[in-house]
Amino acid sequence: MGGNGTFAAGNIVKYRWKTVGKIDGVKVLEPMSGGHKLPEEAHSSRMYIMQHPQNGNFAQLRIYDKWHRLRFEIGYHREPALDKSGRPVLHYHVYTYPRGSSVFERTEARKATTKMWKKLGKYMKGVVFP
Amino acid sequence: MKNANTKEFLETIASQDAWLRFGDRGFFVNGCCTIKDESGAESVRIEMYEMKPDLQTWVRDVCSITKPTVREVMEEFTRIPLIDGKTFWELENELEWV
Repeated sequence: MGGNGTFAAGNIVKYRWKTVGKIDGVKVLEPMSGGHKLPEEAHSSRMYIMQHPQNGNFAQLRIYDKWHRLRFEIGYHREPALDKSGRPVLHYHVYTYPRGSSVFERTEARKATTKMWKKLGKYMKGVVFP
Repeated sequence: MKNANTKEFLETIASQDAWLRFGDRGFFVNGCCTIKDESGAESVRIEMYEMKPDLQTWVRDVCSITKPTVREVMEEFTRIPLIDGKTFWELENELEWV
């Protein structure tokens, strides 16, 4: 379903993710081999979800721009900069592409907002917010 | 690594998160983020935590590295002891990227 730059430079790149389900129309992806993460590029969808394979709880959601680039990520795990306890915290990162660079940078984590939770919480099984 | 390409793993944690297993122990790498201090100066931080086997429950901090650049962070990450006094390169063959 996804293939890290599947169409990059006209080359064929093997698919590395499979769709294992959908939540409200959004694909839940699972890697086909090691490396539990979502793609850095998306050509067939603007949003993907990843869950913990052990129990299906929410791990991460990514949103891509019209140029198929990763732009936004919301995740649920410990972030000591946001919460000193060991508890997971729903937080987000913004991905930017510095001029002249093909490599993205990721902003530091910020706590997810109520607006984000209202919009995206339906995709997040097992998440406690705030 | 037991199930993945090491170069790809290191490239991934240079900008993204990753979960690891070492034997029956779980770890989470909070991949590199660009952070700004009060003056607006930027630096890069990576963190690693030990997790319970469910990979969702925090157990302890393993490391937190902040440097001016991603390159310096990654050099430090692979240089320092991470688990049982061993460095990433000493652990590499036993690590599983999950």
